[in-house]
Amino acid sequence: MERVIGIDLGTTNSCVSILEGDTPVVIPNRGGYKTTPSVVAVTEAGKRLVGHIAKRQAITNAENTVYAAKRLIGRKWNSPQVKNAIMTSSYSIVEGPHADVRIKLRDKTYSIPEVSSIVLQEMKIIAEDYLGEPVKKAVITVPAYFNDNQRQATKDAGAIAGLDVIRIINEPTSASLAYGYGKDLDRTVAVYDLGGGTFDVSILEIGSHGVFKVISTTGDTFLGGEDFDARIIDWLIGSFQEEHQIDLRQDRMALQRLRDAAEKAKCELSSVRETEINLPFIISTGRNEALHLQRTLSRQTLEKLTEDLVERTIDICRQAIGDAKLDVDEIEDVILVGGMTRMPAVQQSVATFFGRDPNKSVHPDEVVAMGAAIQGAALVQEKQDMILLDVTPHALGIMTFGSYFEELIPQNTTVPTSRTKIFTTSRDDQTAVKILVMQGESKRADDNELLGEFILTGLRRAPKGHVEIEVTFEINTDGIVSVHAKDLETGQAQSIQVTATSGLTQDEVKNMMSSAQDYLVERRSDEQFEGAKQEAETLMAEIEQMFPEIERVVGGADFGRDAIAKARSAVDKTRAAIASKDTALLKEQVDQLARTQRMFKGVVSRG
Amino acid sequence: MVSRIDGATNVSEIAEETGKSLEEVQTLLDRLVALGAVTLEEPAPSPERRASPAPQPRPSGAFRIGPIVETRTAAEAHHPAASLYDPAELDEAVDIELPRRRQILDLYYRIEQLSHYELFGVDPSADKKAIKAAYFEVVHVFHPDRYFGKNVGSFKPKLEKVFARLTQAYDVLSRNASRTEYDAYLRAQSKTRAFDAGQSDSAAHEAALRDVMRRIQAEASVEARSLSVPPPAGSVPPASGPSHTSSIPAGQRPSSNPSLRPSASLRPSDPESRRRALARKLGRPLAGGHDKPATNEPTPEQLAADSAQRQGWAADELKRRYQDRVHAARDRQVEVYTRAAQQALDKGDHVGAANALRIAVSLAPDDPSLAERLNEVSGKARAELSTSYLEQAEYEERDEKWLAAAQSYTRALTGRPDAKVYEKVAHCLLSGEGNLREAGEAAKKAVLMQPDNARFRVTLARFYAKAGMKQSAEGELSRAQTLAPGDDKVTDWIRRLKRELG
Repeated sequence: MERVIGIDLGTTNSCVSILEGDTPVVIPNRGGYKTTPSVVAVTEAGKRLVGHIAKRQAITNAENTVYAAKRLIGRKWNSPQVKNAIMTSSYSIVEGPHADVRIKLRDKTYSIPEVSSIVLQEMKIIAEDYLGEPVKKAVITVPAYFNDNQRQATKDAGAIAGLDVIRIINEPTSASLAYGYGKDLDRTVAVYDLGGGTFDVSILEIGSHGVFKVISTTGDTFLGGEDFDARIIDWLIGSFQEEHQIDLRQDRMALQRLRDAAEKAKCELSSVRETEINLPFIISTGRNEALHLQRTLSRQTLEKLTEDLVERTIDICRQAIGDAKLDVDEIEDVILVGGMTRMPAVQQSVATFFGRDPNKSVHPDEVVAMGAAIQGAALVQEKQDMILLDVTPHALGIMTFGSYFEELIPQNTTVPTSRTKIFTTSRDDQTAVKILVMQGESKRADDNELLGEFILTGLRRAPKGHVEIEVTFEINTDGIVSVHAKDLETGQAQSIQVTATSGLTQDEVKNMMSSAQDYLVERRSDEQFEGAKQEAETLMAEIEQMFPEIERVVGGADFGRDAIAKARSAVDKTRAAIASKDTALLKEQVDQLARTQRMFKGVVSRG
Repeated sequence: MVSRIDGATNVSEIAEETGKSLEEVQTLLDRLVALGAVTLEEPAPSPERRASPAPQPRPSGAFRIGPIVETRTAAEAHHPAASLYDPAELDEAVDIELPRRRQILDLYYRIEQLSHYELFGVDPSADKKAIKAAYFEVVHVFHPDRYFGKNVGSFKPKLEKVFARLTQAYDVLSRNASRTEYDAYLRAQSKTRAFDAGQSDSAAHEAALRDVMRRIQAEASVEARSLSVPPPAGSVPPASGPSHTSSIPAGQRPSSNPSLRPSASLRPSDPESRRRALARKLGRPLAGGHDKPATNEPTPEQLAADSAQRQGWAADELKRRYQDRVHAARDRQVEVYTRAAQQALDKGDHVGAANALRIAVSLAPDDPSLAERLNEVSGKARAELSTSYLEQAEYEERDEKWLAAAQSYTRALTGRPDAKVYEKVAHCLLSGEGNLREAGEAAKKAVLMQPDNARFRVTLARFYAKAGMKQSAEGELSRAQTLAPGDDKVTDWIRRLKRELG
């Protein structure tokens, strides 16, 4: 049976998991960490870096290091979120060919799905190293409040990374799977998921037969840990400006250092009451004088700075419970997900609102990936003991005359679902009708997300209102939308799978897929070379160290001189292989060196 | 022999009447049963047993649509939708086990008929936990994830549709507020359905009518027997074949009051049947040109000579006699139902009265006074049901079942004309792309009744816009604007319609 990995593609960190037997296991990366920073960088030499390495070099390479790409995925160039990101990002965000968003790193522009695919590919490699076999299928999680464009773009990112994304699932739902799987629970729970960049709340019913049914879900795709960091950064920049009349925002490197320091301070304040922020040589003045930044941040100050953010999450919780048509006291457990829920003020507010202490049985950073692994296994292994019923987080509809949004599928409808409605023409002799598919909660079409548009042509000429067009909207289990329109008279039909609006065309995705494959081969041999080189260098150092001793013991004998000559030539050949970056030759030499080293060791010990 | 089979006469009686041997009759009957022309019923249950499936108390005049449950065979109960689809659908080559395929089709083809409770197979009084358990169990069959990566062919849309319907039903039943509303809707619906079914050519009405017809036939043949073998003094022929009584829906049964039985005491009140009864006692058919004069007793010789001719005459005579009896019995049933209606009316139960009258009218379609009576009583019944219809309509409107809502609103109007309800009819018809002319009439009526209501004018404008009457639409819109300049909803519609009008 083919294995399916579950990937939590987070704003700040990503995590990969797989089901071993009946237990989801979180797979550590080579550094031994269970989560990997969702950071991608391109070095001066044009080398791509991912994860911890990318994060470590961010300060010195701020302009070419992408973090929080998830905040941009599936967004349109002119959206306020993108405008906001342009203001605060140290990397350069440019407009793409489809009014989408691209990131310029060195001399190349990358689409957001491409950047995310680099992170996904890393997670794939981590899993393959652990399993010792190729991995193809994956379940990827997205914030519950993601719209269709964002989901589609995430699926594209998976495809570019060479993954068959069998399902996109919502993060809070995924967390609930890990929380309740195999436990035969019967209760109503709330999942409070405050991640690096997004906030979601879902209310679920968990019951017999392993059914997980989402009742309502809501959230904010631009509210998360990054916003808490931003408050600290603002606070630091503000006081620095007051003192020195210098705006640190103008310096990308300084901004990156502030960002790191703010995140670190925030994390520390979850366990201590006060922390020191110390950034020497943060900037130099025009007179070649270096300035330092030094501040003490208390937990109390941080809580004051971020009070309104926490309050906003509670408002959203209230809304989710209202949407579920429940009372707060009907919630029987509260699950905390996401690194931000470690903040004592968050835990306190949640406990106060729900009137109960939140559940601490799940790991806030790992639980989402674990749920994705469970769902993946349940799908391909036909597990009879689990079924997930999720909802669509946004209403779906079309734009009608006067820029009105005509809702067809309401928010929080269990998916898969479809809805058919009959529309008529609005002008006499109208032969074509344009259908704009939208997602959102506003009555005004302009406030909602345009998912796509298509034109049904070849309508028969008739007075207005006489041609009837049947439009069917479908949302599948991924939460992805498709629309079909049919002229009832002629049977003329047209349909779209809303795909083009993820910012990439199908061809682009295909091209990016193959270039990602090239990169994967390149990277893998690169890694092998690096490994062999390290091994070779260790062996050579040991062998060279032993030469004088060998000379002394067996140098007089023919076989001894012969062995020494052979060893020297092996070392030379190895050096040549390293210089020519010939991985295959280098590997052979490593074997040769290993034999020589064993022999030398034997001689030395006898001698 | 076939003419003797009426659902009440037993085998030995048929043998007696036809002069054939018991064995002969039995053999013939067996063949008829095998051919499917005739069905055998269990011997009539004893009165005690008959009483045991006590008729459930129902809203006055209400009955279930068709006594399906009682007559269903075991096989039908197992695959209730088996007759609703082409069995070839079961043969589609898909990766789903046959019993499961059957389960899917069985639910899919009945999806619109079943109430939320019937869908889950739970009692309307079931608690939340039981409903949740039932839903969570059935979800494993109908959620498309159960068939992930499998070829499910045409079952895919079916699964999705059933799943969506199950979920919708569960969402309604799992919340107290929506369940209470739904229960009220069901109650209103069962009331109005009983009435609608009684008043239309529905299966329920047909079944009830068939029942009466059978009773009439039974009565006629019982009478025939009671004539050939004089009954003991004072005995009364049974009103109806007892085996049917139990299958007559409770609300339909006019015989709950013993005085309503077509008994001997009833007959003298009916001069026509009295006359017929007298004629029967004389052993002569009434009227008819080829009647032989009663005084002209034929001699045995004449009889022998006219043997062939007389045989033909006898057959005609028998047939005529039987038909006369049927007429008489029918008249009595008309009387029974007319009385039942009157009694229901006396109790203020217009629905029950209308349902009883409708049967009477079906039995005596040529009686204009009966038809008129029915018309009048149904009007009153509709008025009585008006509240139920309104409740139902509001629920259907919320559910966006526009055309059903329009129909229910229209029915609610019958007894109680109301401008607001007229507007609702128009609104629902316009929203559901229903009959435009009816929508226009309703919208105009609403405006006529309340000319100062801006919203009604907007609805009328919507009709005009849809009908392509631009000027009229604009006129209504400007009037609406003057009437309610501050109403957001009105302003919204005006803006919207003006754009549409171009």
